[in-house]
Amino acid sequence: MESVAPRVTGVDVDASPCSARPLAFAPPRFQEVYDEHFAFCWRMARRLGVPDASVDDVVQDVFLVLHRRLGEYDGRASMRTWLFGILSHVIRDFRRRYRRKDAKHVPPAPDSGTDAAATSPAPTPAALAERSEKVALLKRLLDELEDGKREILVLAYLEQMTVPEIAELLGVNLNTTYSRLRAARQAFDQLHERARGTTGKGASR
Amino acid sequence: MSDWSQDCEDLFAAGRLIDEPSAADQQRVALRIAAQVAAAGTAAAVVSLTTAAGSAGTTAATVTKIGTGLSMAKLLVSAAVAVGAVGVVTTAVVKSSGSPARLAQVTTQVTEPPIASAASLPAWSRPHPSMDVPPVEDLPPPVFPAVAATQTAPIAQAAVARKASALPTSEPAETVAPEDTVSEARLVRSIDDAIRRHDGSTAQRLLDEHDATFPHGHFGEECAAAPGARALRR
Repeated sequence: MESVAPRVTGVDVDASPCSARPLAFAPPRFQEVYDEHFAFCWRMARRLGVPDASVDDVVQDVFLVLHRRLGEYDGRASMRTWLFGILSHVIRDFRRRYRRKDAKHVPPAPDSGTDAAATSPAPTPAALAERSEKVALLKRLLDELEDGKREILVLAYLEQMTVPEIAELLGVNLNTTYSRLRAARQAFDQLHERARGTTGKGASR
Repeated sequence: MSDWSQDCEDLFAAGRLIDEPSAADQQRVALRIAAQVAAAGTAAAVVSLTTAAGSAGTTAATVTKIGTGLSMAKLLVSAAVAVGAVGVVTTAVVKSSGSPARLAQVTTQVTEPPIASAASLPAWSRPHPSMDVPPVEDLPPPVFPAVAATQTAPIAQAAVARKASALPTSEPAETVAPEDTVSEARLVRSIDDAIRRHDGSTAQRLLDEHDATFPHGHFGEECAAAPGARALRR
């Protein structure tokens, strides 16, 4: 779903340091970046394990960093790559704080797929229930993965980026990206098999 | 690859259908970002103003103003109201999504009194109820506690020192020479002494003398506000 983008009025790129740049390269306006990449940041924050209640905070932090540093953007990497770098840092920082502050607090269980229902084209109750189960299982398995493996799987299979795009985004070479993706898939598959075993579907073992 | 089952593929296919933000999500975060940016800008402005005031020597004037009745609490409240107003204006500008309002507009509108529009804002962006204070001009005059009567002398001396370097206030130009202020302070101290000795007649006489000699004196409020003095003058 491509949402209609309300404008971040009141926040102007002119207020950021980029307005003082004498170079020929003109960084994009904050508003444009926000409109274009908000959905990406939002999805990635959720898919990389930020609890629903904190997604607003994380995305806000990402764009505040972006607003502060937009003047440093030199256009050598794509804006999405640059933004993903900021997002990764913010999420890592968030996780550190989250683990420290809420060590005793059990993260909320994956939701029952209500948002899946909201975006479903014409779901029957049975299809909805099945999808909800799958989404919940996917979230649980992703939560169990290491951060790096989760990241690459999300980029490849949820964001549906190509391996070269992922390599650029992560700043690693192509072969490394392929091998990381393979390892991540193996890890996910093992977790999936284990989950099926515990739910009795694969109890033949 | 053999390690990737169809089930895994199905899981991710289901996962792709969720997690899209709504327009409301996008607008909500936009409001928060705008408020943060404006607040940061305000903080920077306050810091620079303070620095400039210090270097220009106007800090003394501020201190004097505090001495003449505008307490630090009121200043802080004023600052809080100002910051709240910035947030309100910012969010008000942001709320009119679709219009290409910019930070420059926020800066411009901050100088106007936009508080009336606060009710139309989302609950989270409204200033905290504790900020709903009347303007400083509407606040009641300070009432000094009874204990102040016994401590007026050192306070008065400090006030005299501050007054000596005071800038003109908004009161009608009533120039008082420093020596007059010192005399007034001495008289006020004598009144304090009389009150402490429970010498009502002397205190009354000195108060009358103060009214006659310094009808526009700096310590008129102190004399009038001291509970002991009020009781004596009844």
